[in-house]
Amino acid sequence: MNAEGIPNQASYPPLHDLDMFRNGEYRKRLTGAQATAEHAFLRQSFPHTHRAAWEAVWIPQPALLGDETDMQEIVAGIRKIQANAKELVAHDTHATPVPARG
Amino acid sequence: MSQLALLGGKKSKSKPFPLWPQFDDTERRGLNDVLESRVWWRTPGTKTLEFEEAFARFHGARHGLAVTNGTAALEVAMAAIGLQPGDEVIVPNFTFVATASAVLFANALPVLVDVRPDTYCLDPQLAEAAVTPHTKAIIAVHMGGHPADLDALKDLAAGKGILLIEDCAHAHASEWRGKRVGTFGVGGTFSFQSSKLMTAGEGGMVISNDDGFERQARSVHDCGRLPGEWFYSHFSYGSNYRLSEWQGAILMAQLGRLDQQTQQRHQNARWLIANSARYQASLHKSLMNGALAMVNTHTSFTSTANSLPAFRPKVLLQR
Repeated sequence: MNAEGIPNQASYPPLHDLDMFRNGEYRKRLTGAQATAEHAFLRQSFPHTHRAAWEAVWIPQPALLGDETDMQEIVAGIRKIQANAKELVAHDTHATPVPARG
Repeated sequence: MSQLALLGGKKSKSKPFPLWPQFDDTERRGLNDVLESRVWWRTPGTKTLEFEEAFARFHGARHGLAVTNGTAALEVAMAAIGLQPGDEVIVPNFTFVATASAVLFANALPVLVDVRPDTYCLDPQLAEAAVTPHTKAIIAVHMGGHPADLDALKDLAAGKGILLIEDCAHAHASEWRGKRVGTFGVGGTFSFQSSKLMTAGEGGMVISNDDGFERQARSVHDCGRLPGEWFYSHFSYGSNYRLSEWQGAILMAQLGRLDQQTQQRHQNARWLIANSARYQASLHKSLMNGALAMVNTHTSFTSTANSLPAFRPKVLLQR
């Protein structure tokens, strides 16, 4: 999308996957029993957060201050990427399947 | 020859998008006024005070407190509700880290809960299931400007005797049932960081209709001082979260542009929604009953079963 001239950015990752939750650093902010307790969110699944985080592309808001031509070019660019997705995946050596998470 | 710009084809965009941030002589005059006044900090100044009052009015709040950034706004809000070690706060799992780190900053536990698939906002039913005797508050994040289900979350908070805070970092001018967000609970927090809908590069705001909450928040943001008291009186723990006069002047000018920009964003969002099916892109377009502003900070395209990893953020492909 960047190459097509359409600005975009990665989504927020799920919070429970952040290093500070995975490595236990967050517990240093807690006291008493809470600091050592088992926190359920560390082992729960979050299917909708997972999908929002890893399967969405975000277009920053200044793009929405454009005119109708800008909007037409956004969807035309996406349509083009979709139509040529196989070629893109074949080209992109990083395009390995994303492991199931959440 | 490939059609794709990445592989040598022609770019889809024929002209640049509008530049951001936007500004004109209003910002220039405001900055020059501050410069020549030689009052560059808020305490004896007028610009930040004027802005926080205007922004609070814009969002239907009696009180507005300008702070250094959106993360600071959440930290001040957590201090103002009296969050204590051992407390828990329910936070959506899908949000910027500040929503959770502000809870940890107060030595309390953020309890992470999944979001709704249609709005990417906190799921009220899952939030209810996460309430414990230690739960002090819920933070509803209005993701991408789309309000969380404030009817359900307000009812949940009232029913359980806990507080509702709105994280409105993306939701300037967003409405729920005809009322702008930020005062459905005890307080709402905003960000004016550079990517946001109005900006001074950095900046934040806490709004409220609760006099006690505002008094606490104002004291926390100004080193534990209280209005009208001697400058070196410090009545409780606080820090310096004060916004400068430069930023107050810029944000006052930015606020004057927000209504027109919001209309433009909505017009374009409606066009994208109307045309997304034709282009096989599944636009995140849910409009919950009562939500006016659905696409404020970002527009998100969710990949469908037909889409390929090319749609996924590059950062993910490199993990």
